[in-house]
Amino acid sequence: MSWAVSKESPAAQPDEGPRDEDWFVRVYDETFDTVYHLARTLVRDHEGAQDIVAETYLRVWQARDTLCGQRTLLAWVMAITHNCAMDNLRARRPSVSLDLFDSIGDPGGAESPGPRITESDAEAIRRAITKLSQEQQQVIFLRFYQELPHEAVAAKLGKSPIAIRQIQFRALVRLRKLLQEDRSAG
Amino acid sequence: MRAERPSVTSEVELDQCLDQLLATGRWASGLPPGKRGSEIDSLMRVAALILSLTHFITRPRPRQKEFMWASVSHSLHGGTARFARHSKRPGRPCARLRFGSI
Repeated sequence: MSWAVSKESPAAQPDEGPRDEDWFVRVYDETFDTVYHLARTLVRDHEGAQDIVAETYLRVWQARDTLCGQRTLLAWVMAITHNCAMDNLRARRPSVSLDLFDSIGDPGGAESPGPRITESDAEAIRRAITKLSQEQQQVIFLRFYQELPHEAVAAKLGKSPIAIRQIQFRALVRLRKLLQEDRSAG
Repeated sequence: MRAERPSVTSEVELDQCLDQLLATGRWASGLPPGKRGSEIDSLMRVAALILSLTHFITRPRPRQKEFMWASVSHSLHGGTARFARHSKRPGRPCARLRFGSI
């Protein structure tokens, strides 16, 4: 049995084979894109993301025997990435004001690439995302950054589509609160 | 005190608006009327902000994947010996890996 992490694959399940070097190479090959992208989402710089990626796969190898069938491979690797990113971020907490929340709206009939934000705004959004639960981050990441429909997110994380809708709703409510607090603090 | 559970209807409507946002960059036509619509619109503004963050994130290039593989295998075993058989030639430690997905 094999797993894949492409948009087309229904799930990324741990296999029954030995957790040897071949297994590790396959895990790296199939999850690297997601791990790197998640790391870049949570930290701003490429160097920081590289550190997180390296640490993530080190922990994946060290903890390979703890992966069980209760969670998908992708969810497990993303959880490790999250933990590595949180460790990395503890040392850096810049304060940036966010002042564009009220100006964002549906562009209606106008063609628009979406709201224009500055690097400092992006930092505030990124900071808010890091305060979400691990589960919420995974859903937001796969839904927004990999642009997967909620059914595909559910399959990748081994959850029901209903659960994914609940998680994304609560995640957005939480992010709204965090961004409003950030704006107030600024 | 526990937060009030949002209705399943709101969760479904929000999900549909998210699909619209991802597909077209807009969501207004998917909003329900009334107070529920206002709440979902407010959340969709947050969603649009999050989506805009993707413009600041560049995807890794294939060479970065190879470079990182060298770093990972080195940190695991103090060298690439254990994973050397996955190499095809020096400088391309994971040449046998597929890079098409990047």
